[in-house]
Amino acid sequence: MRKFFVLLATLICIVVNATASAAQVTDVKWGVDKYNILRFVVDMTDLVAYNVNLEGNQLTLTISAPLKSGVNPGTKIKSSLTTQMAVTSSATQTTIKVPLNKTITANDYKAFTLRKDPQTKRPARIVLDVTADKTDTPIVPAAAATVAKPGTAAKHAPKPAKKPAGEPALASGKSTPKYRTGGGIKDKIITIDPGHGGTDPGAIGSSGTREKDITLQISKKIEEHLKKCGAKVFLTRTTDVDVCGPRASDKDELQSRVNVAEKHGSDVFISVHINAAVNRKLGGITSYYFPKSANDQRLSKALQKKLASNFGVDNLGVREANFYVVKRCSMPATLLELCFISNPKEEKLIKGAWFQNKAAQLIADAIEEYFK
Amino acid sequence: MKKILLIMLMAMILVGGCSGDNAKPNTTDAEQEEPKQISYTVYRPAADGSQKLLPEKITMADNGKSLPENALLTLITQKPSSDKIESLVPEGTKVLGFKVDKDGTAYADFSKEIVKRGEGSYNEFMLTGSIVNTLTEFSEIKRVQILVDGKKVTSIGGYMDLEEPLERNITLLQK
Repeated sequence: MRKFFVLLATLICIVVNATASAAQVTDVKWGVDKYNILRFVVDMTDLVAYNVNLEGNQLTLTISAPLKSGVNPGTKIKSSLTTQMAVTSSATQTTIKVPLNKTITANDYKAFTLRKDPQTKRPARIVLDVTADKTDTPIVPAAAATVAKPGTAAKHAPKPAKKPAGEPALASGKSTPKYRTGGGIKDKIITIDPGHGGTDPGAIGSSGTREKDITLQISKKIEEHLKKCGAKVFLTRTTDVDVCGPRASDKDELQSRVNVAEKHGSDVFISVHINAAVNRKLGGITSYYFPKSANDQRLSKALQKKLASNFGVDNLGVREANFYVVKRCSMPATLLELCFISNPKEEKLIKGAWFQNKAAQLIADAIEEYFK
Repeated sequence: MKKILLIMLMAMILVGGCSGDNAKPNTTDAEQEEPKQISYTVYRPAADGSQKLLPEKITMADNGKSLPENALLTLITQKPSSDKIESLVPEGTKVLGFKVDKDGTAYADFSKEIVKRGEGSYNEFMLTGSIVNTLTEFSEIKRVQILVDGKKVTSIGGYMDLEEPLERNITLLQK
């Protein structure tokens, strides 16, 4: 704990991007929400590496991309924590320095990235929240609830002012999350989350099968089947990558997956996993939900019903679970655990094309059933 | 006459009892009082992988600790009494602290050995379920905040959201 006061507390989130070298910072904005969280938003043409350092009372955000020429983000800030920021740029990086009027710790700030969203025309962003003066109850006269900064922001298309919540669950273009639960599968928006990826292999079977590879293979097959039914499908990842970035914290990585579902305004979110246990005899399929509404359980039941009896493995049933991704997304969601990679028999099963195709078909059928 | 003898005998026993250490309470029925037994139930995962928690009744000598704390210590430090149930507690895990708030939130603080990666959701799900369902068996505990080294964590296995207290999960107890 103490060392955070003196040492550099570092958060690195590198997003693999071939065009990273050409990326530019196009704007730096700030805002204070009704919980008195001070938020900085850096708009960029592409996501690049960044770094947050706390040194004494100075918080510094360094971005590996220069500031676009002509952009002048201003210096004044109206917040209980600071009155100013300094934005400087070199040929390769942009630096934002925020002198704070009190001592904060590494737990008082949090940074994360948001990908470019073609649907809402939002650029790639780095968000830095300073929560040191966060209140538990909202401040009612929310005079400071909108981002108010004169300057370059006005040049951009009318952007809805962000309403930062107590957690980085934004990225939704809609103010009230709405999802559809019936009326047929056609045109429904479905986000599939292939579990793990990149630096996180997930569980590994005794013959070397990696969970992250199987979840991606099955997710792509689910996408095919759902598209045939007329649904719009998004994957949180389509290759072997971390969704937030290498070595991201649990929270950032899991939240990044939720963010993909939110930004597309998904009607349903399905996270695909392969289970594992120390006891190698264990096996079977489970559908997990968090009871945000009755639809979560209804979705899980539809999936489990289809998947349970086709593979000669144990039906471990539908279970309520506090899993981050199904709890924190706003739409009905299920996390599937398709067999145990730690069980040698099931490891062999899930590697095969027959299982993967059949499981994907059944999952698509169940989602179709859910929307009937 | 017989009565007087009996009374004298009882008095001697009583005096004898009181002059010893304070292990025996100085009540009139002291001679019946063995070290007090306490009993409680802990829930652990079924070893057959059916993803259920099975009750295990524990009886032990009163050690002055509260029933919930004893239940938590049993869960973390003792092996199951039957091969039908298993423990998913990682080797070396210790209970660093335990307290219950007036509002019914229990805080269970574990050493960092409890954090494990690459093992699928089953272990994390069943281990946290076992801790929470064991503790919420006591009426004064409504929910459980899991801590690691005194701090809140997002997760101990990469799946669960442990930033907020967990409530009893009855879907793990159903037949």
